[in-house]
Amino acid sequence: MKGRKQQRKFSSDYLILLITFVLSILFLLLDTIGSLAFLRRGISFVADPIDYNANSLGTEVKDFLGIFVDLKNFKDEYNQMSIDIYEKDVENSFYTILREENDALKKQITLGDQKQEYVMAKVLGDEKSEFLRINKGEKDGIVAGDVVLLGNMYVGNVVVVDSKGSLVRTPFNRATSLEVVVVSGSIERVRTKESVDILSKGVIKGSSGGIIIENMSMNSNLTNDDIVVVNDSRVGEYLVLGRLQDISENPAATSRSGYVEPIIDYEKLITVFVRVDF
Amino acid sequence: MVLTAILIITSIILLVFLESFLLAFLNFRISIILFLFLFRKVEWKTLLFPFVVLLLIFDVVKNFPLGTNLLVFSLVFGLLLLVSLFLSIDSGITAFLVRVFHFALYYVLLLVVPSLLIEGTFGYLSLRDVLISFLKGIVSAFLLLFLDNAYARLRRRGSSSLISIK
Repeated sequence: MKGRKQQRKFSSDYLILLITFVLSILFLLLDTIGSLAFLRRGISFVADPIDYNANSLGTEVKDFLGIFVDLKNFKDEYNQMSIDIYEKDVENSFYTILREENDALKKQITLGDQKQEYVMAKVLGDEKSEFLRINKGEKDGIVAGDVVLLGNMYVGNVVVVDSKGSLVRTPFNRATSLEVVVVSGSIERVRTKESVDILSKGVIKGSSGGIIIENMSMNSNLTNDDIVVVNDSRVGEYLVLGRLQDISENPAATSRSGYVEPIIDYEKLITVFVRVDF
Repeated sequence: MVLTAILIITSIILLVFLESFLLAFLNFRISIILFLFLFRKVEWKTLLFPFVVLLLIFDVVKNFPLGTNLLVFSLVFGLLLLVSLFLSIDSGITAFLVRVFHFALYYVLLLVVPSLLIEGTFGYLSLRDVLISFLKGIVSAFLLLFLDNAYARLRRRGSSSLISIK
């Protein structure tokens, strides 16, 4: 009984094989000559929308889960992009410094005294704005007392020199004491010494509150924003320091005082010039 | 009869959807696994008709010549029957290995046969394709094993409530 069942099972297996094989050959032959176009169209009409929707859904799920599979790649890509951004920042900083140097050179050529010899230096750091450290020293011919300037603007005086660097004393330093004149007119006219009206002489001193200007004449017609120009034998030429601010108005005083707001922003200063052949 | 027809049509539609979804998602075919699972469990006539229709639908939606999937299936099935003359294909490690080989061959043939029928040349088959086919074969064999075990457990649970009279 069992053997007969087994035999029937085997015969049905071979029947399946035979039917599927014969049917496949038949379908292939008929489809080749185009006799089954109606069947293809009918199946396509019903099954294509189902296939399309299922395919779209499958692709969407695959793409969504692919994000998790590709997380490592995304991380690597993010890291690479961060490195690229840092490299660009470095490159950008380099160009910014180059541009600043170019601007400083332009200023020096336009406003500086062309007969003098200068050494270009970079500011390395400052100590509470009273001193500036620059990257040029004895090897470049700098000696203590040399004047540091930018164009026709006074920056400070070299006080300490070593072989590869120097320390510059700015007007904010308490030890600074320079003779100045207060003039009216533009900075360019001061440089070319063209018909500037000298309003008063004075002396500047450094302090924690800023640059103090004293000993200005009571009779002079001073106003805020008048230009303060260094006129000292230790500096040797007319160099603009800044603009006059907060002039004292005490009628009982014998002289007038005030503050000088420097034209140069010492915190943003990068390139300066040291006059070496004075 | 009407209910059976509705059930068959609904099953075919669901299977078309599931097969297309899995093909797009994992490049994996479920119909062959389902056939081998139902093989010898369902009356062969009941199984064959929907399966042939299903394979014809796959031919149409994948733009293969009609009968391509059927031919691939019959070749693999024939080989399976041939192997069954010498080795057990129902249980044991040999049955599992035969199934892996069978599924892998099915995937490999699906790569080359359509190209042969459409263009007259075998499609490009790399070692990577063969390895992926074997991987899919292993997964398919495990899935079939899982379905068989689940079915056997279900039957045992069903028969345990019966009182046997000897």
